Amino acid sequence: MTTFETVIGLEVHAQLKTKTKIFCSCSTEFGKPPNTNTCEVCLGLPGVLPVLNRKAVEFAIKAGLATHCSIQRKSVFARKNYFYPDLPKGYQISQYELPICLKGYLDIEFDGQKKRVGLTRIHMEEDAGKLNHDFGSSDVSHVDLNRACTPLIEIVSEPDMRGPKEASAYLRRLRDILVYLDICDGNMEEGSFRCDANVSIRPVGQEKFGTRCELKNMNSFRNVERAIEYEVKRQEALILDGGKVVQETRTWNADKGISESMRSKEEANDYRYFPDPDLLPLIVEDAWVEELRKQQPELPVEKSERFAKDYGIPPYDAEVLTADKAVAQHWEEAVKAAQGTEPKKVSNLYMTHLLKLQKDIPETFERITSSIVAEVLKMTEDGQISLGMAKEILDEVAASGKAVKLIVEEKGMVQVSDTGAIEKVVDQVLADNPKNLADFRGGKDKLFGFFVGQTMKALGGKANPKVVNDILMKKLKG
Amino acid sequence: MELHHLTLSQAAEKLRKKEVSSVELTQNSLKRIESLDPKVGAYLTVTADSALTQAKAIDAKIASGEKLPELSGLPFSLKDIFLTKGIKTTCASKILHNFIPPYTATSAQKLFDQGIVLTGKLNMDEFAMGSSTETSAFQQTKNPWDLSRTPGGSSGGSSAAVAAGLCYGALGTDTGGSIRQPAALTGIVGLKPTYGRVSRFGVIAFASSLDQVGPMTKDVRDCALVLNAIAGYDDRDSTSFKTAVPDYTQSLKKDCKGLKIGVPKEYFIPGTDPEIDAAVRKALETYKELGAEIHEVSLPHTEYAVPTYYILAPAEASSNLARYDGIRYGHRAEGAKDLLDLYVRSRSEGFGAEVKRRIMLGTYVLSAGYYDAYYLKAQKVRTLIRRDFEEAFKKVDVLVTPTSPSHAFKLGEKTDDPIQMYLSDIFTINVNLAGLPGMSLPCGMSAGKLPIGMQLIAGSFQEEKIFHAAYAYEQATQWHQMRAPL
Amino acid sequence: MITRETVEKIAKLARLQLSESDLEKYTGQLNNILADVEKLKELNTDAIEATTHAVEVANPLREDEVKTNTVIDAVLEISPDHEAHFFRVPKVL
Ligand SMILES: [Zn+2]
Repeated sequence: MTTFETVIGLEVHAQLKTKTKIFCSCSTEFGKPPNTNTCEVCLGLPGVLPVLNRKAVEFAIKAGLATHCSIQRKSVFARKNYFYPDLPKGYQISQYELPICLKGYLDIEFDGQKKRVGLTRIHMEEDAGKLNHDFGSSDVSHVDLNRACTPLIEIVSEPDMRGPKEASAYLRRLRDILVYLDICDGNMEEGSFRCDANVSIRPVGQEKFGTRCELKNMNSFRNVERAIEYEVKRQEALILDGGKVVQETRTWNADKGISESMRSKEEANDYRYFPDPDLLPLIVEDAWVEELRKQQPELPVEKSERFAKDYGIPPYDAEVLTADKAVAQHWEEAVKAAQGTEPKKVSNLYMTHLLKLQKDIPETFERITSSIVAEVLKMTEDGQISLGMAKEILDEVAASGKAVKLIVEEKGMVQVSDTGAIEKVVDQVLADNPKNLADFRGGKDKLFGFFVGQTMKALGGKANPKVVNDILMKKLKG
Repeated sequence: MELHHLTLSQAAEKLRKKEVSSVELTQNSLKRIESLDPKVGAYLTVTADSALTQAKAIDAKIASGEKLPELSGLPFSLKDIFLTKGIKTTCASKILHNFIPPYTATSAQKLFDQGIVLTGKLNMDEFAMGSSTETSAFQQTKNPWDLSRTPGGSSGGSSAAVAAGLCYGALGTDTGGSIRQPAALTGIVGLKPTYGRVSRFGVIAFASSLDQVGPMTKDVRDCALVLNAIAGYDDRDSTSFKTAVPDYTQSLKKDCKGLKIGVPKEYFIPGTDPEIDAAVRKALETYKELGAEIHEVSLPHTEYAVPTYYILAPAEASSNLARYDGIRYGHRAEGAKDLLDLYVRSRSEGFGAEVKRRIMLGTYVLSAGYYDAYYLKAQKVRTLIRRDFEEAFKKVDVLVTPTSPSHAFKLGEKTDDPIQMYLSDIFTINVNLAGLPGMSLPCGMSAGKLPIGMQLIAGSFQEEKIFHAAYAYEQATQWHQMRAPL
Repeated sequence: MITRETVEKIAKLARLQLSESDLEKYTGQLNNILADVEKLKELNTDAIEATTHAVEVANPLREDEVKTNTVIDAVLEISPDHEAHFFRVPKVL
């Protein structure tokens, strides 16, 4: 039986986080009443002309630099002509033949393997508006142009990926980078980071690509994987059945878990691209690129490598901690503030507790500043509180925003490290459990935990576990 | 002289000397429109009420001793392609028959800031596509010199209104000759400035890489005054240029000593009306007498201009006119059964035959498989045409040519033959393709009492040289004092 | 030569409806115009750069500063069909 190889190329549309639209001074703020973020330009009134947003160009260059692209000195905006109610001018302004960034790459990791995925190009364009089909009479649609003319970059990969996992690893990496650069929200559900996938299969060993289908409407990383998996199976079944893959656009239906052909809704598209005469060529001088290169922040890969090297934490921890720029910054500040505490211990607290806490309480990292983390960690180091207490305190800070000292006082959280007091309690526990004591001494080592538990319980959980262990060990051995 | 025969500067002078008020000038213009425009058909909209309000405000300022810009208080009109906030702007198309703009074009606003009194909006070819103003969806405009003839186009409402003394000056737009040809056919001065000299913001686009706004006036000084007011960079038009704007009235000199005039041989061809050819040659004699040197030059790619233009302009237009879709403004077909039906019927009902023809042509040349053969090819030929001029301007200061190969033709004469109509622009199109400034000014009168215009062309942003040459010629001749017999 | 079918296809692309007689007429006229255009083929332009704009300088850039704009109210007022601050169109499938 023929075995097939999957070939995937991805086209990502990322909405740029500029304050204003790409060709007019309207706000890009999300969630405004319909058509209120509009002006004569983005409404496509007669006589209007586009004026390019400098910030949008800077963001596109930043994306290009972070993905090792060559930034083009001259790029040109073209018109892509088609009629649709969400496209006020009857054309979309988009870079076509001469995009701003060419030939880059992205290093990705999946299933423990490393791989380099090529980028064909990054180009700038304007977004379309939105159609609303959900209210009013059933035979009408409503046009909202708030999103029209919002800046996008389209990042086109080479067909370098060979499976759904690779594709989602690439997407995550790309998303992390754009978020790190602070140029895109990276929110797939809200549509600020959208992905189309070109998927084809070919018999292993064949060089020529198979016929590809374009998948759309996958609004989460999980859906991208599912949609590609489904598409690969569909194409395999089709070919093995003696059929042929037809080049077409297919939309992913997440509810049904299938992709559906959009052919019926497509007409023979002929976009009649030509250079937009309302805009002159965009010239990006080297000095500008160099200035932006200097401003580039440390990106996730570099940061993760540095964390592992400089702080001696495991590479896995470093990668998890650096996936989110804010978390990475928070962690590094906490390490610096908690001088004397091993970075590994700091990292453990994040990995085992704080990252989970953040999922439940989004304000976690606003309320628990890195100096609070440091304060609490120091208290555990000094033996004032147990690690359990530390976590309890952090939970309370995240929930209420109360000061650490106040929480400690309110809960009476003082760890007993006084050996005299603990010895007394241990003596009592041994006296109360003569049978267990005899069994332990007879070789039942497992009962050690029982005695620790009893002692801790008697001390209201406030004893320093290390001191308890030491004393118990000494006394049990008799 | 009668009030309506005055030039802008003469009227301004009278206003300054308090020999006349702005209200009187305005009332006079409005009265003249009322009595004569039914014959001429220049105006699509007359803004009588707002004009009088504006005029009164100016008079009050004059009375209070305020120093006002030179154009203040003078009745002025705009081709109906300039958006004017709150005043209907149709581009002479049914598709915009009900369009009330919510903003004003930069060039119009600059004139309002100077205090001009807007008396109305002028007829034109629909979306500026035409050379006779006959493609207007609303009315025919007649040449004030002979009411059975065209005032030229597409700015034929503007040329007719100025030539008939219905207003003191007007703005037009020029994509392939739409200011200069009507100016020539009605005996007035019309300037297409360098591409990028005047903002296009708020001017309904025909072919964006060729369109340019310019003055249409009774003489050269008026033209300089109006250009002074409207020229300059606009941060809302990326294709306007930051080049400094000189005071163009400083270029109005009477002698031509040392001025080098080029005569492109490709513009003196058998197809041109002999009277026109002779009038322009006679003008060259005048220049010689004024001290200018005359040199023959060659613009070898001249004959390729018309076909180049008829690819580039319709291609851009087909895209520029896609926004008229019946969704947000303008004409929407009644009872559309679905979206496609809405698009197709709104556009088919809204656009006239010439506009459709050019949309079709433009859509075709841009469509898959033809782009390189047509659009790209035409852009390359455009480079050759531009280089011809660059070469010529290494040797001479200005070029002198006829503006139009023929006199004002009879209404209806060329409407059935698009190619014949397109050839009316044979001497003007090159200038748009090369982005250069070009002026038409009166230089003669035919035996049948129809005005003849000659064209002056200069290098990029060299309008001053045109003004110099034009003014010297004008002062040495009487043609600018001719007034249409109405 | 442009065929009538091509003219029909182009009309559809341009969202125009042409009557039978228009189709006939436009087919002829477009062919005449394009026959004139054939003249350009006389010129060898292989080594010539295309001119998009007569004067090519760098495109100006705008600062990223929000300007409020309220033209929408006037536009909705003149729009052929609107509801709840939306433009309304026949159902888009
Ligand atoms: Zn806007």
